[in-house]
Amino acid sequence: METIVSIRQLHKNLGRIARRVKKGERVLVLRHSEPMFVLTPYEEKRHLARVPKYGLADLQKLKVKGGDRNISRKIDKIVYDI
Amino acid sequence: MILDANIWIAYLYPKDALHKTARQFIDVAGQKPFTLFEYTVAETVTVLSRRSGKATADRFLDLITDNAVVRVLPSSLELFQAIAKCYKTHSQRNLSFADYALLYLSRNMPVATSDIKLRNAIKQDKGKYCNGTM
Repeated sequence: METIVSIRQLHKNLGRIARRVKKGERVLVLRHSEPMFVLTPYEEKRHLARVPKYGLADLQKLKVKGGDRNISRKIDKIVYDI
Repeated sequence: MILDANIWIAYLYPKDALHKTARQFIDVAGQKPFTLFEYTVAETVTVLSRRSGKATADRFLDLITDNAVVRVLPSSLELFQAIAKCYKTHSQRNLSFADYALLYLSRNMPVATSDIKLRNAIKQDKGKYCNGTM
């Protein structure tokens, strides 16, 4: 469920809104009727440092067919036709 | 360190004359993450797609967007404006807009390229022309 509040309402009722967000509510905060930011509950899993899926070894394993001995010098020709 | 598209292409294509050099360079320098600017991604992916097929380009995108040694640097309005200013200040016609982006970024981080024209431009520039604030 998403609740919409103005930045003034947030300022006035911060404690009450913080408790509602903690319980799972999502709050969209507006300033001059424009969406500014969203308050969402803190999730332990989401905030844990993520280990990237790939490394240099995966790039090394990428099988690239074709090309020729000058392909790295012909990038402008291939991309921009100049 | 920022890597130019020519380094990535040499790295990826075994037939390229600079393949071994690019491999050695990336394998050694890859102890620290590389930065891959958005325009460089565009050039690299276009070459891969046109010369080796869309599937290879797609796979390269997968590998760089979630990689421990690659940081993709997306452009922004401010960065684009600074690069455009740099482009207009210089009179070099033989550099692409993407080259100017690397020339601009070279003020803050080293750029590795096998393009002699860009390398010379970076040496000569030293922030002289591309000194707009980001």
